Amino acid sequence: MKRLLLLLPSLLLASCAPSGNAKPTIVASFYPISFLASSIAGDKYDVVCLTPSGAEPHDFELTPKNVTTLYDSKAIFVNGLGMESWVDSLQESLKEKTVTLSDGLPTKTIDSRIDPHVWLDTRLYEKMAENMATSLAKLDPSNVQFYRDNCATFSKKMADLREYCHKIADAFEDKVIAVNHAAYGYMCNEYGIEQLYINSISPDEEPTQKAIEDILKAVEERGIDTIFFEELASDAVAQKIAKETGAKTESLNPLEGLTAKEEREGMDYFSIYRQNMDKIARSKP
Amino acid sequence: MFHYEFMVIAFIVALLLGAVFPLLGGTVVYKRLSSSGDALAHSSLAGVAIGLVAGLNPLYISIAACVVSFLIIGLLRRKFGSHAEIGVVVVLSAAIAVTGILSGYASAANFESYLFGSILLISYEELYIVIGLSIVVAAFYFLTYQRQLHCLYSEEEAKIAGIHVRWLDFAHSLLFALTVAIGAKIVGSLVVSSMLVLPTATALLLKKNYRITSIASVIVSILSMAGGVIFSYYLDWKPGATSVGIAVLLLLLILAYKGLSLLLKRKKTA
Repeated sequence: MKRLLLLLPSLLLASCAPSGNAKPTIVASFYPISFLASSIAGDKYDVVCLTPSGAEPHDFELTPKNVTTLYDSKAIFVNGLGMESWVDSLQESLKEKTVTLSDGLPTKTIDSRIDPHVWLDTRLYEKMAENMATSLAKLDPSNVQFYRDNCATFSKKMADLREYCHKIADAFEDKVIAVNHAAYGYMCNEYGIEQLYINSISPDEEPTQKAIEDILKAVEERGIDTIFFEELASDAVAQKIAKETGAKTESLNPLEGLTAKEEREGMDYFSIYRQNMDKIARSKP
Repeated sequence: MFHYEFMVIAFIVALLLGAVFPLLGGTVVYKRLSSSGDALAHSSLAGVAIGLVAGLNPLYISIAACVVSFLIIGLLRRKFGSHAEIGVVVVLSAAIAVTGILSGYASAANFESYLFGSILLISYEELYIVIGLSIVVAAFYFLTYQRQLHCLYSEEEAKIAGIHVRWLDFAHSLLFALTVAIGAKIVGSLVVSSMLVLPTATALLLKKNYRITSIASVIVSILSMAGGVIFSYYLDWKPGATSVGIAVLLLLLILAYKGLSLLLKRKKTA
């Protein structure tokens, strides 16, 4: 018993002490950011993604554990452009180590608001990867070459993805899609596809009469046969439009996060981006 | 847990707001306006929307919206007499409608950051505001304690006794609205509208006098707020929802205890 009691404090200490040889962590706000972080940081840092899989980043609220992770981390990577509303309320010391990856990117607007979905433009996403590599290099100068190499490998994969998508998009004659939430502006812009949408900002907003009327008209006039919705939000509006026009519904993933199933199946940014393009190409009348 | 400064601040704020909410909320419960906290929280959102669309400071406008809304609730209360709660619903509906319409014109991103209140992300500035608010509310409460009690007992008699009922009411409204607006911004509207009512409801179940009820409500509220911060840390839950959960649990426990003791008493007499 006595021996046990003697052991106890050391056990407690062992479990509490910040273990010196554990890897330092960096925090990423949601999926596309954490995917970049793990691609560029490799095995040098542990990457913690704040938004759990299957959750919508807009609805996200922090728990105490999230905040301790923020304090213990070396850097906090966010997309910016309003995707992470909690960043504004962070304490000064946390704001100082926050890196906004979309800084300096040429953004587009939709209905006079900035479209935050920059990660869907493969070239902009590459720029974000470079921003990530630059700040990691500043954080850990001894591994500059490592981050540069990872960034180059990443760029090469992006080039492959782009080539694949262009091939598919070229064969897609309609060059128009109908979506419930205008998340695909950057992606459509890259491949010369037009995006018809019901809601411009939030996937769960109540649409106006006019928005519904416009999309009904467009769908009928242009012979669109698929209404796309996103898996992490409600498909009610898309279903309604589909019923009204006889179109079918299909899911697209704006890559704000993976569903639990996608994560289990080992899907990532590249495979889901490809899958999105395949689905779009199949939506021919 | 207190190794982190943000947890220390969260704990202090939980203690302070935990005391402030029921001190102001009690009167509102007695006046049968329990849901005014909820209505005002929505008014503060409407205020944020108006501020963003009109290009004014959203925080100030949201405070103004709260004050105006509560004054309207007070006016409607007099109009509807025994159906005092109707005024609350009118204001609540109006606030939701205004917010819904205006949110189409304001950037959603901006909007969210103003709605976002978390006890875990409190800046020094916000901490000072909470401390200031607590001092003012405590001072008001203790200085006007006798007069408030008199007014609650009977407004007519209070008037005859020479108490400026209208002014007292106005001062209380002002503080109440201010607390809801600031509280919603700092800890979130769910916590505010719950803590204004639940602790007093729990304390009322004890069926004691006004003084003990007030003290009990403050204790229940502080236990819930501080408990929310502590439990959410160890369970990785959301602190606001945890606090409200504890408050509901405490209410149910007291209810169960009361029911049981009543049952036992009956058995004894039978």
